[in-house]
Amino acid sequence: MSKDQPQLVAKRICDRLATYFKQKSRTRYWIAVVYYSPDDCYNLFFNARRPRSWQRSWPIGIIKEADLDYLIAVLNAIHERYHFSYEYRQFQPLELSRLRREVKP
Amino acid sequence: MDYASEPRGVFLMIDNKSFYATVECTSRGLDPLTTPLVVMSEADNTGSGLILASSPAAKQLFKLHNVNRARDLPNDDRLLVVPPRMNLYIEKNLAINDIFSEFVAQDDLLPYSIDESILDLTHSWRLYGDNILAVVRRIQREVYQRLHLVTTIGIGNNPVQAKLALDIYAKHNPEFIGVITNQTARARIWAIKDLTSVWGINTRMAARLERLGIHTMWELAHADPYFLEEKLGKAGARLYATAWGVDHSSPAKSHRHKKKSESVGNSQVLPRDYHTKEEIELVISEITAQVASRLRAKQKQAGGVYLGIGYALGVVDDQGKTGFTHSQKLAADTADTRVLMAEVKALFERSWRGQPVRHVAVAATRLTKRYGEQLDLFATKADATAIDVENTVDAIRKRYGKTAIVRAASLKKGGTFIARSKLVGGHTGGQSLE
Repeated sequence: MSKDQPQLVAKRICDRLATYFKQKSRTRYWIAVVYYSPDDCYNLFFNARRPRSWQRSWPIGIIKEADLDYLIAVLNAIHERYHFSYEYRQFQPLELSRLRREVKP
Repeated sequence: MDYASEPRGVFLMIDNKSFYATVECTSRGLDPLTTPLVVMSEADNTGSGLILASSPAAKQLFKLHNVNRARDLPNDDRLLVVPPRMNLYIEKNLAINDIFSEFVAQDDLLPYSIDESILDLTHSWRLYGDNILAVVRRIQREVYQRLHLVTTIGIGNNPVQAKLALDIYAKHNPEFIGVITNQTARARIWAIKDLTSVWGINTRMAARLERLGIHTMWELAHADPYFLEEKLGKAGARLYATAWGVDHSSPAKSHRHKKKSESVGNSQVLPRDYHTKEEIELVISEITAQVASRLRAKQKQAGGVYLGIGYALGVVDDQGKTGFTHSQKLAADTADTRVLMAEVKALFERSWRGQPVRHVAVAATRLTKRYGEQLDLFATKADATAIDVENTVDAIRKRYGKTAIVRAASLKKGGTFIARSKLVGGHTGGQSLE
């Protein structure tokens, strides 16, 4: 099955993210990107943390059929709208270094 | 008691450890045993929020348990709060049961709840290993490797032994495996001091047993079974058998004797107290329409209706009651939404005296097969057309989703149909994220 353009996927993710992004003061926001091996996909979560309050984490996207080039393109497209930092989990060291090198910080 | 004549099957009761919370942790690449995560529903009718599940680490660190409220959560930034995704949990439950079905025949597997299943391995365990414990460990390993989920397993010679082994012993075992057999049933079951930790004994039943002078499983096992049955009915006999670890049921029998439902009902806790007749009747109409639609989907029609109303917190009526329930037999069996609505509304108007309402339950009862509508000499062509319209609405919703077509009244203040159509089991199903 052909995949949607990374820009289109990024737009959907940003639209979902926008419903949770409240721009509260003294709050750290970031996106967690997880390789989920049982489904061979990437899960994306929008996280928020405030001092002396719970940390929140909302699912904002799933990218099926894990493909690192495609993920990098999606993350760079998200970066065009929001400059949140990315946290990578469950990636192999080589993949991790590519992500750190090729995804805009 | 002689166990020699008792069945000696190999039954497993398998539970997914803190299921929702574990699914949420693993999908985030986090370890549920070290990450304090809670799944919190923030649907309108949960007030500030209802905790549906807590990871083992959250339970340990913050002494949380399910059905805690948001107000019980400490303001601690180590705590990770996530929304529920009921559709994802259903998907994972199906995947888990697919793995189980590789070890048993379809009839020997009974999904018991969204996170528990009963497996009868009596006839199949030898295919997968030299001893039962090795097969059990293999099932655990398969689930962990393929889905990253931790399972807790109770083993017994019958389902009740497996369930008690799971609830009482497996959860405290480092391998998450507990065993009760015919040989160990007396020692392991009678050692249980807290009656409410036993399957089938809730706090009310425990209080009833305490009034009969029974405080432990040993005392339950040594009570007179006829006395128990006289005082507690069928539950008394069942509990006596549980105390001896005796159970003659099996998943295959449950499949064969699957009881057909005798009623179809829906209920909901409203997001706020409803005060006016119009608003309450609107919700009653919405729930009745949903019940009627489910009836038609099952090819059934109702011979009676039931209405349950719960008042707002702290409100009681003239008789000191916190709500009312009424049933009505219908003149003719029907699945016509309008007829059911009229009957349910009549029940409401007959008994409601202006109290604020927070809980509404509607059911269609006395079900029969739906071969066609009852002919009525005085029915107009419009009546026949109305049924066709309902069938068409059902077909549209089946194909395009529940909100593809809605009653205009659902847009009025107080309507809950549209908001609830996005929920699964009363909680957020989780939107498609692709």
